[in-house]
Amino acid sequence: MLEGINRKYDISGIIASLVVLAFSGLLIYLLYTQIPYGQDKMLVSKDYIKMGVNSTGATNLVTSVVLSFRGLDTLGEVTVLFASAMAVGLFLLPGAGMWQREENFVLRVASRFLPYLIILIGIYIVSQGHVSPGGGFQGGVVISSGLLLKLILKREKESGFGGLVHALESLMGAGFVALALVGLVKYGSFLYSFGPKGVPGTLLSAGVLPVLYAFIGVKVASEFVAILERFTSSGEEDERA
Amino acid sequence: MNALDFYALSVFLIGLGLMGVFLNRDFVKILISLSVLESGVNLLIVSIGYVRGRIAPILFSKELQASAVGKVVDPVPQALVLTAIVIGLGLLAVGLGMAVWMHRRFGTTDVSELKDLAG
Repeated sequence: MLEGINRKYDISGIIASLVVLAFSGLLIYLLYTQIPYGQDKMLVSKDYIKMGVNSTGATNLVTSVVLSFRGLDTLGEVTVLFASAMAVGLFLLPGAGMWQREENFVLRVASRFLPYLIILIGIYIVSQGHVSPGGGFQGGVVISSGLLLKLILKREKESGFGGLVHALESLMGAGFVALALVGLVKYGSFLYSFGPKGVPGTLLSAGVLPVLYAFIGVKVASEFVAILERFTSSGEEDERA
Repeated sequence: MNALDFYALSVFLIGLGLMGVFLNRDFVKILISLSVLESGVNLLIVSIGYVRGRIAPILFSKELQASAVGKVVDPVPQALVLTAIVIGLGLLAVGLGMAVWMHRRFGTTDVSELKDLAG
């Protein structure tokens, strides 16, 4: 029986290699013939580049695309993230702590000040999203990595962030949609970039975009903390089997 | 970098990830392969938006803002990849949650051993 499985595995391996090789070859051929590398292929992007700073006030064009021109996509993305956090919750029901780490000296000393430094860096990254590289998604992940250090050190089995995390998650999502609807009602387009534009390149500029990115930052951070918490404190074997 | 490099590297990563997905039986390894595949696709999308000799789409000065077209690369693929990275992370989280559940329920993460699921 084992031989049969092995032979089948070998044949499927050869077939898979051939399929992947053929696919890669086709991809390479199409890329180099259809999409020349390093050349100007912009159509709609030209308009984004031309009017991006004037219409949104953000010097980071990627931010103006993410939050203003294609803001609806970002709303969908945040929804997918929310759905995945819920799906993780379905697979890992909360229960007795399963994955507790024993305190050692390095972890204990580091956890006294390192989380706050990491969270500070995260807030900085979130707040600079409209000026320079950064933004809510990146900074939110950094903030959640700081809180993770607190999570793995948790000694008792109490649920550390529990309710607060879920409240923040929902509030921030609602805030994002509310700001988008203000744009729709007052200025006639969903996710319209209103508010004082300020001087492009300064921290207090770009109207509503920094607020939106702050919402996204807190939402992403709380989403990830919820996921990580479910991984670190999910149920024991016997309750599900 | 050479013109060949980024396309070739991303196709290599895509092929590597596909091989991993096809040949691995362990669910965690399949997830790792999916991540490699996803990195390849993201790199491919960003490198399609690259234009030789241009800078990142951050218009930090007045002169640059006045004549930005023709000086910066395409911002749209970068914004889309930002979306794709987050979606990929959500996928990875759900997959790992599934792996933990699978290990708890069946005692293994080897998908070929999960005979109970058939039919």
